[in-house]
Amino acid sequence: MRKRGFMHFATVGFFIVLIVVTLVGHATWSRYHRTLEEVEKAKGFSLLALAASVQNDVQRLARYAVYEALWSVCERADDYLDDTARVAAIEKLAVEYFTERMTDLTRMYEGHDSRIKLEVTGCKPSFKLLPAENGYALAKVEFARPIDISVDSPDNEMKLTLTCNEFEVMIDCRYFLLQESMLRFIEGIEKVSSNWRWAEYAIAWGQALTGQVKLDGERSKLLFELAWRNHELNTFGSFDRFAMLGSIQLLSSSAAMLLQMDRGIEISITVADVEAIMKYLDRALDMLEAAEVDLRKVGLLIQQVTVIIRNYVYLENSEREALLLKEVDKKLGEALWRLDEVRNHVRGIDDEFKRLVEFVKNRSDPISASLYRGMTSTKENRPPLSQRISSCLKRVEDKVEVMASQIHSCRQQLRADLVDIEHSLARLCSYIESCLQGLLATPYTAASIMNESDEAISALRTTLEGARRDLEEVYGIARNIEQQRGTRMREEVSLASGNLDVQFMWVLDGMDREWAYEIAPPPPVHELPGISVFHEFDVRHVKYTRQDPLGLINARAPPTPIHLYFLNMTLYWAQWEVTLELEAKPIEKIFDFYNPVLPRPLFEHSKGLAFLHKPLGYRYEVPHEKFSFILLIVSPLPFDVA
Amino acid sequence: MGRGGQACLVDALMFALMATIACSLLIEANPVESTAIHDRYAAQLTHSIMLALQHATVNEFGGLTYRLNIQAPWGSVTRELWHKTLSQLLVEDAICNLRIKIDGHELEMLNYNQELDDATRDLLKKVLDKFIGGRYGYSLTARVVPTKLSSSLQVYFEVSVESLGGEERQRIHSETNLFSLPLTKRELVSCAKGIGPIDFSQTEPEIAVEVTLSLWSR
Repeated sequence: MRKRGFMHFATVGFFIVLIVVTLVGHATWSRYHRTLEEVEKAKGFSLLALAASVQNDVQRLARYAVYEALWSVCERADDYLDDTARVAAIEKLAVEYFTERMTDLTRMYEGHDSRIKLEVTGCKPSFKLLPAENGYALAKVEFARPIDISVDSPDNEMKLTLTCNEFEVMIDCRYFLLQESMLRFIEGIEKVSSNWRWAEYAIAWGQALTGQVKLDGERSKLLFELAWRNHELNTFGSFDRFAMLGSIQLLSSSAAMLLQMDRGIEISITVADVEAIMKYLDRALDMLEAAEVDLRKVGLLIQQVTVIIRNYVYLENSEREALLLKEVDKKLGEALWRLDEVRNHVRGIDDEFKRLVEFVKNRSDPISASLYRGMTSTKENRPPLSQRISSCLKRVEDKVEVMASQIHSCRQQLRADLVDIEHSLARLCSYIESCLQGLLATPYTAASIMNESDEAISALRTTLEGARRDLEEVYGIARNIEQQRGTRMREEVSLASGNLDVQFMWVLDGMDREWAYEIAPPPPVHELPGISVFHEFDVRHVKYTRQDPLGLINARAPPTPIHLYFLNMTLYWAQWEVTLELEAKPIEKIFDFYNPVLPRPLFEHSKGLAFLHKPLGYRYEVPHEKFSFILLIVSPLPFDVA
Repeated sequence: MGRGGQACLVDALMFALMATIACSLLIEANPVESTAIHDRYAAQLTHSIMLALQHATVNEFGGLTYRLNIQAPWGSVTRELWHKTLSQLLVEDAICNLRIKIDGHELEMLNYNQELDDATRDLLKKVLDKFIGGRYGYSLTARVVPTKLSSSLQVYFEVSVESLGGEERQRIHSETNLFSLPLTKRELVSCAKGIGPIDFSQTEPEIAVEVTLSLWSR
């Protein structure tokens, strides 16, 4: 066995064992270090997670500070001059709340986990409230000096410090939507007035046509409420359906009445209609003037012809005979043409007037109907306007016919018998002059139109001009009515009143509605933008002051009559100043229906540990306590005033 | 067998012995510790879940809808929460469902927010099932430790979600985070004044919600 170069097996084994022991020792050493490293890593990750958790807590605190600031400011949104001032107030309050809560947060960590240290000294925060999509808000928080979040490991061997300079938190309620919607509501508050005015007009005019106008304070209150709701619906897509609980039945009947009035029937003649009627008359008057000019020209032509013939007879100048006769013939021809023109004008006047009557006939309002009756039917033994005008036109046309035939025969004679021409022309001239004097005579006497007198053109002119003056009066009335009454209330009024859900009203009776809405906001009428609406106001009184001449003497006097002689009609005019005064500034509050996310006490002003999620409300005291308008009723039928 | 043969045999035996010792040392010297790997994984998962609870919003898990336990037929008592983080949801659940003890007796509350509590629990279970995916058993507890607002008045809150699996289980990792309440202690104390006399000094320290997530072996 003893060979050079070989060892004993045992020696080899010993070396193997030595090598393995060395390897194992190294492996154990490595594993120990790896484990230490992993522990450090885990510790680091744990510290990082803890610090991130604290940072997250700070961000959550910022969100709650903004929630609180939003709640405080929105509860008295009208205290601020404008949107910028309001946002600045929210930011300022959020800073206050956040700073206060940060101190508490520091103490909380000190009390519960000594490993966590929050260094907040001198890190004055600043909040910036920015609009986000769909009316949500974003709060950007910046610190003058960063917040230091220090976290120690349990064995105090590792320390991690996280600094926080700025962050953004999403505010999950639509503050900017509420602010913008309320601004639109306040800016358009005049629409409440105009809607209410229109509703009052619709009802009062309806009453005037049935014979008695009765103005009722309770009804005015309800109409005002309806108008308010209408404005809410148009602005917010919803309205306060549970306001005015006690009067709900009355409200419904008033709404129904309004609905009936609002089916495309005009309560009064419109300014546009009166203007159209006046245009027909203006065209007729223009044609009448043209006819007068033509008639005067005819008279002039006949006079010229008479002078020419006289010269021809006495001078016996045969050289000029042909020329003069040609001149006479030409002038007589022109006179005939002028008379033709007069006939055309007269027919044109007739056509215009017929069109006017047809136009008036097709209007649906009661004043137009009365106008139509006045123009087409006899009243108090006076023939209707249409008859008077057609009678005048016929007389003019007859006269023109006779004049034309006289001139024509004289023209024929000019060629056949030159000896008698001077006498004939003298007779013609005298006849034409007398005709023209008759037709164009002024001044016109009222009696002549009733009789078959000659003063037809003058009578026609006086009649048309008189009718136009009457129409100017009607125009003034229509314009006043339109100005006072305003535009028609939109269809939503009927919707607003028709969809009233009365079945749960008893539950709210006697309850603080504003609080009840905070807890359970009523679903909005329209899905978008998703705003619930609350309003509260009490009407102190509604005052009606008569303003028409008879009404000034006695508030219950019948309406003042306005006689329109030429239109053959009488209008009855009554006018009031209607004033509605509220007890205090009305309160309008809107809620973000889809985001009831703010953790708030169940009872805001009393004590208790019950909390729940509430929607953000935006409360505004509307700076209007008095609403007034002029109610002007002009009816073709007499009515009583109750 | 001669002396040479005997010596040879002893030598071989010694060699075999040495080799056996070397092998056994090698077998024992496993450079990787399997339990440590599991523990570390569990710890990291716990951290990640805790961070996710603070950053993930409710709408990522289908939103949360509940109804207040209030009879209000004129309006909506349904609450839909979409943008809140899960940790925010937990603290708001705590503040909305605070329990009150007076002189050691539980005050019967109207539990307006019972459905919020239930819905939060369901949502958290859904979230944790999704995150953990059956790899571990878990329990998540959010609690406000009983805190005295006065000598007789105490508030507390606890909600827990768990899925622990079989009997033979072992806790692998646990982590606790503190979340502040939406209300400061002063505000809470001010609200509690209506219930009973308040001794302000007894309210230390500031009230917090402790959220503990534990992972358990299956």
